[in-house]
Amino acid sequence: MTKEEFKTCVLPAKGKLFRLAVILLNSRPEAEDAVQDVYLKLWNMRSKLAQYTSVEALAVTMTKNLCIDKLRSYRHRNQNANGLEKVTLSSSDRYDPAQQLERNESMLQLHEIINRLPEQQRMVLHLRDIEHYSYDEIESMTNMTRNNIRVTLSRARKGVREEYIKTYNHE
Amino acid sequence: MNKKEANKLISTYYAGATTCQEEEQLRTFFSSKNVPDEFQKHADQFRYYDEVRNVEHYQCDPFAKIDFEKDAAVPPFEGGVSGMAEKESKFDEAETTIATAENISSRVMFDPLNNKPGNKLTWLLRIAAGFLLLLAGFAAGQFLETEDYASTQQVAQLEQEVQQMKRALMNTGRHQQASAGERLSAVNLSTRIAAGDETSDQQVTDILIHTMNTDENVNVRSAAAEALFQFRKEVGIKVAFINGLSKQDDPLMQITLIDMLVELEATNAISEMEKMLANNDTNELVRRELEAGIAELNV
Repeated sequence: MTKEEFKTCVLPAKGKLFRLAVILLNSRPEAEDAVQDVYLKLWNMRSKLAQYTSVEALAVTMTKNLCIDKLRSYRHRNQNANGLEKVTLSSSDRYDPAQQLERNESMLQLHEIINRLPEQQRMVLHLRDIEHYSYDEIESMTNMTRNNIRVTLSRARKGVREEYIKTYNHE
Repeated sequence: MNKKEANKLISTYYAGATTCQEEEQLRTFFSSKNVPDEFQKHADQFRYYDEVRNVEHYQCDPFAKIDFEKDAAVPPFEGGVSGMAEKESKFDEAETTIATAENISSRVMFDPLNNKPGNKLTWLLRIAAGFLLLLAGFAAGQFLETEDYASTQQVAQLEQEVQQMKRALMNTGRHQQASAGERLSAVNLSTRIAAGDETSDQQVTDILIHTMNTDENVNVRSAAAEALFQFRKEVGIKVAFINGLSKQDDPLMQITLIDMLVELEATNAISEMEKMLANNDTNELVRRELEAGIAELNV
């Protein structure tokens, strides 16, 4: 596979991989780095890419695994006695939606709410409600059973709704 | 779409049961001008998902880490010379294993139970990893030559790996010999040992169960639980998790086990969970997980 063929094959997924990495890692620079790592790995296995029905699905799975590994290594370093410390990256690295989204209260609230979801719920919510992947695609990307995906998605959506209603009612 | 239809679709949505088309219908409904007030909260969520999708632009060069020129000169082997490719991939795997093991050990330097000075630890780990690499390469080579010889070789190699794992993880009655970092990498390596061979899988799961229940370090226990999840098809794993749940008092472990039991659809875990819920000492976050888990399993 030549350089040009490779680029044509993998470039379309760029945005999706980045958005997934950002939502998992909650940091723009970390996400950019992760995507570059994934592309490097893809380049190193370029001779095998023809065997895959969907290179995009492969790339999404690789991105997910890489991000989860990164999160785990942060967690092992930052855990306190209760073992439930959340991932904290330096404040300059934190993804700041105010720069990008409309300066709109409810959008910012929703962003915060989604970031507080457990990682698996956040991921499934992202893959379905933001990227619109089908259940089959999500199944192959995450290795979760269909039922588990439905349940996790339901929990995530309800979780967002409950939290949002709470903040809504305080206004 | 009238209100009644909308309400029906909305509850299906929250149950996670809508199809792509139904979600599309909801999106259209919510983006129209005259969304009734009571639907506003739902509409906001949908609007957020749309906006986020449009806003995330990746501006960097995704190919920045690739050196096209260097790699283009030496193209990787295609499927044709399969022997070489397999050896290479095993080598890569072993390399990554060593790298991960070293990373983990260097991060757990401050472990108070670690009696050995840093240098000796890395040195020993390197020896162990090098040995594993040797075995892996040897086994790969043998496997490629003849089937018969390979299977005895494989079994011997499996035995070796299981023994090493045992030594690293089993408590001999005194303080555990290996450091937390070494125990952690032993747990992570265990998932690669699984070759579908019944007896060695049994040994590996026994060791993992022992580690999950008794290791002093919560990270090692947690990693053991997750490694066990890979073996979930084995008989007795569900039971091990349920027993683990009743014995563990660390909230992280409890939550990990609850999640796995729900994944496994282990309905006989319900009574244990209800017991924990009734106990007032149970951590608040664990309570929430318990409630969610019980609801899930009752479905």
